[in-house]
Amino acid sequence: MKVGDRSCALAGAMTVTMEIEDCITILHGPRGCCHRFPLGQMVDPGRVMVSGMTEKEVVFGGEGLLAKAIRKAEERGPGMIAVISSCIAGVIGDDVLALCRELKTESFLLPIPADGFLTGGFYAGIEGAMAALIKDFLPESPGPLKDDTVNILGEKNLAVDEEESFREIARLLRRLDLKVGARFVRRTRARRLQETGRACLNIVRDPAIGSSPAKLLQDAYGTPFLDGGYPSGRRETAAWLRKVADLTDRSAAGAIRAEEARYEQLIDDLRGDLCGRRAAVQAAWTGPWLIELLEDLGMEIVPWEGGAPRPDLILAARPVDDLPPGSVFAPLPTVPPAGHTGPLAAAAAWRRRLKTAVGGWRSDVRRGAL
Amino acid sequence: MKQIAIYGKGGIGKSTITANLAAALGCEGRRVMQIGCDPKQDSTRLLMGGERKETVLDCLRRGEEVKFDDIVGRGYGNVLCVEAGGPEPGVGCAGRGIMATLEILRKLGLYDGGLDFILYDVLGDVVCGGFAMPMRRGFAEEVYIVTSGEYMALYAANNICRGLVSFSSRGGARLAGIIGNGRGLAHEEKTIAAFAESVGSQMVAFVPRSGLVQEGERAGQTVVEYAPESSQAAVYRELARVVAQGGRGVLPQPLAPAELEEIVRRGL
Repeated sequence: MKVGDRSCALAGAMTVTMEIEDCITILHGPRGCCHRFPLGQMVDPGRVMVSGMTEKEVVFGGEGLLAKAIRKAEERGPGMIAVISSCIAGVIGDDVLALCRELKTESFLLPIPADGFLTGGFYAGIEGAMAALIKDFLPESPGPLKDDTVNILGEKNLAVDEEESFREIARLLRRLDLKVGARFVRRTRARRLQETGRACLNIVRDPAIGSSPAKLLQDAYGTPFLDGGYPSGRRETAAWLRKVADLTDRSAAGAIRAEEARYEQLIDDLRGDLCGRRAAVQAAWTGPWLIELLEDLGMEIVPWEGGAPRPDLILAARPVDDLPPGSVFAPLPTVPPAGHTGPLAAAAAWRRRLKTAVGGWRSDVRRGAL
Repeated sequence: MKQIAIYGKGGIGKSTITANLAAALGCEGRRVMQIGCDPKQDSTRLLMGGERKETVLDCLRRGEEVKFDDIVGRGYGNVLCVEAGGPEPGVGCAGRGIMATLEILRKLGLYDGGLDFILYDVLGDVVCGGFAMPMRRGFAEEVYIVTSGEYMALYAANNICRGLVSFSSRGGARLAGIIGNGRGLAHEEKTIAAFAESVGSQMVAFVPRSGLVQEGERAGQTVVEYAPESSQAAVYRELARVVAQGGRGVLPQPLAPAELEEIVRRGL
């Protein structure tokens, strides 16, 4: 089973609509469907409603109950109301699309017939929600093109450090005199999304989420897109800056020079403490960015097991049980850290851990030095 | 207490036969309940003389607690009459409605004794899990299938046999017999009897076509009530005797489509 199939399309679609700050998401299903509320997403629980189907609606149909929920949501005057159907609504054949067409509402009504598991897993729901937004909500003629604006597509809404990653990407884009227009779909308001068609480039954050809307937006507005996700580390970042510059008709030379100078300066500072230190890395989590960073810092990569020489730093996804005495554990991020700042922040955290480990300040305390 | 389910193709005459069977049993002093498991809610019309009680699912729709007197009517022959009811055509899930109905009836204590017979008059074919519910363990032990000699009616009867087979390993109902309902076809009784034998069962009654059925229907009565002295009423009373005696419940062997067509062809 793929990771993305472990939840249902309703849950996936929610992770999209809940990011629209002036949108109320209505789940058309039993109350328990709220349980699909993605825990990683820190949003106002008031933004999600559930129609609350019971056996009565299963037998007699639930469209009336959904209509009531939509009316109730409208009282709060949201910019948008998104309706996502659950599996039981799909099984009994409630026609969410037809109902939403019939209802006259002040707020924009966006039906997403996810039908719980019936249309697929988590990613199918994300794809369906984004497709519905593009097809039903985005204007056909979005207004004049902005040649200094790019969009970010398919951010990882459940990743805890997604905002740091975004800030780094926005910083890198500023080096190219580019700004971020729409974030499709993260921390946005409905109206802002309607500007999506005006950007000169769409940048895909996570291909599993962003590639599909990137293609739809290319068809709709002819916007080119850069797939493959955010860069991580020195080489990838330089290559990425070059690609973005090419796709937006500008030169990358200045930006790359400035970024490399910044990187060198920051790495020099870290190198003072980390150069020559030995790191053991859990193989499954090793990416190009990590090897590059360890090399740039002048650190030595030693075997995970086998004793001598003892690693100073153990880099793994989660704490290891049998930490060799004197070794320090540091967690590896599950998602490669973005740009330059991400990897450098990781190295800064290693330095902190090595300094605060026993033998570091604690022994200084014992000696009475502090 | 004996629980019996009557299945058969839609429009084949299940409700008429069930109501007459219930009336005949009731007239003999048996305590009978007929449960119409069809959203059309017309199963017990002939017993109730036009009077209508609320359906079980209407109570569910109102969202109030269901009370015995709201839904249970007393019809001809003291037969207790219940209609499951259901959604408007094309909306919701009628099959789930049958499950909900049986659950509500169980909570009302209908299965706790006091009755000799419960007759389930079930909509058409076994189209989904809901309409198969009465043949599952804990409900009817015996199933009778109503069929004419027409191909589509026999085809549906064969499908119902397949339904019985799928529940057999879980202690579901057995096939107690085939009830022939004459449509005036040539050699019809022979065809139905041949079908019954082929699936390993027997034809327990053949109800001939009779104008009295329509006359009674116009009067809102079963034939047993409308024309008790008629030969048609005698047929229903004989059916009641056989049913009360208890059938030889078998696990049917459904036919392959070719075998079924062969039986219909031989009848012509």
